[in-house]
Amino acid sequence: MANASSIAGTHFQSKVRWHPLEYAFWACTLLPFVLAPNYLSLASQIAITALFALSLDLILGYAGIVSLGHAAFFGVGAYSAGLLAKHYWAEPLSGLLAAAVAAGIAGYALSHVVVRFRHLALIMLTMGFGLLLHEAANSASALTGGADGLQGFKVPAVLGFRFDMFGRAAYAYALVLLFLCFLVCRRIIHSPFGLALRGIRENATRMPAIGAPSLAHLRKAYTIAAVMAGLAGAALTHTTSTVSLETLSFGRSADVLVILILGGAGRLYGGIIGAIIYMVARDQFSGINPQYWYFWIGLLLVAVVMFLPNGVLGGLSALRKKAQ
Amino acid sequence: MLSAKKLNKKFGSLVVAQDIDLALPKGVRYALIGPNGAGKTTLINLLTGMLRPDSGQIFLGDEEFTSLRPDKRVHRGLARTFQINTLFPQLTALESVTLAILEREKSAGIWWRSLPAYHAAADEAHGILASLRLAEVAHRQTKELAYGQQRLLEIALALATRPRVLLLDEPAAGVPKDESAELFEVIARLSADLTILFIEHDMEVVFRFASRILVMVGGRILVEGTPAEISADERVREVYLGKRHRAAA
Repeated sequence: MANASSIAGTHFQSKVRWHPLEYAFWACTLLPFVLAPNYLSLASQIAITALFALSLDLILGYAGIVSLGHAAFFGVGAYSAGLLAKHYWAEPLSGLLAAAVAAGIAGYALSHVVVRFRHLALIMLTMGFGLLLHEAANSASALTGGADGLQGFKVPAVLGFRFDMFGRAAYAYALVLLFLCFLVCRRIIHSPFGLALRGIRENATRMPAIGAPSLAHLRKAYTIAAVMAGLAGAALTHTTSTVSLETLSFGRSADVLVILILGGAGRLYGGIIGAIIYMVARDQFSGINPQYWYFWIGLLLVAVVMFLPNGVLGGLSALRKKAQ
Repeated sequence: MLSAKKLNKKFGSLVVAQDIDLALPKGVRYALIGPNGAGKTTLINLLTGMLRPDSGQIFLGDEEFTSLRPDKRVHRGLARTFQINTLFPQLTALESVTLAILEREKSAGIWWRSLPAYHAAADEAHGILASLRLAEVAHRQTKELAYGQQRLLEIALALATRPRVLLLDEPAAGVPKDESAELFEVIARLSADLTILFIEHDMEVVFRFASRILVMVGGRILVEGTPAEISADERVREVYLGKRHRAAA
């Protein structure tokens, strides 16, 4: 039994342990401060988008909930932080907390409906909720600023570091937030709850037959993902001192899905890698051709799906297996 | 232990369960036999809550759980396997069984503790796999296991819930005949306290491993008895066992 114990324990221990490449990756995220100081604003946008994609990965990649309305929570977080800063106080950490609570409540409320559906019905449902919220924000222009967005507030600094035009504090803020949320996500994935989510993704029919309250698990995952998406939205508000309707748009929901597919869903780093590729490509392509840059994004997506159907990380993983 | 009273179920005009009365005492090995379409799998689905009966009651011990959710029935001690493998293809065998144990212990909702902290669950899972001769493939993904090993993993998942009653829906379906007997040897070695009901078409296996037999035809329990009583029953010979068994007997 002692031998069996060590075998069984090692199985999970080896999966949880940090890989050297992970240390290298996170060390590399500091390089923009040194190598690309003029691109720190873009880097902060990438970190925020990566956090948003990470939140989608939790429900799509690990629990199998396909969503085309995930921007709803990003937008709720963005507007919560914006409204707090505009009408009450602009301290960002409490703004993050408020955004997390608001997005979490929205996520928990919607989860009761969303988790009961699968496949196409789920896609339509999440898209429908996203569109409803977008139009609600558009019509409540007295509160949200409508199509003009929410303006007229300034988040000056976080923990004494000023949000300047060079984006140093913005990137540091977004990166720290991304890293902390990544740690939480990593813990979730390697926890009993993460294993249960993978079980649901793999076979939702079997789960009740082993005593799993699948819907409760899914509601919890959906709420956690909503909180993280809300944090991403709040970070965008704090680093740009504005909130546009676009934060709630279908386009943002579609983009984050594309980012996750690009990087590789269900791989923890897929959303982050996808965000880096997508945002850098968008920046470069829109520089080359401001009007038709989506053409090149489309081409990139077709190429990735054709040659790397499981995303960039999926492709790399397959290559590594072949090499072994 | 497990009992049902006047269970009825219809799909439109098709009657799939009609006035089913059932009582499975503790530790008895029951075989459920009957022609295709007799309603055997439907009965398991009704008992486990995957289907709601139109009328009737289901009890485990003294507790009625006719309207209880399937996952809650599992926690009360009723487990099942599926006729077609219903597993977790990308989880390893060890992960699958550990998950079932964590669900049993109501720890599977915990997200703030890491899995290695649950080494006792992993060890228990390894022990269950070893008891079913699956220890060597514990770390392989389910989709990579041989078909017979996947059938055993079905049973391992059910055992991980620590059932009092185990319903096996054709556990040897698709398994070669020689391996089927081996699989039933494993089933026969399970705890004597465990009540088992298994659906099986191979009459040699049924008569060898069952202490009592239920015969279903057209959504009804036609007869219940010991293997000797069943093989001697004219009605059973007529509708199910037929000439083949007479010749074998």
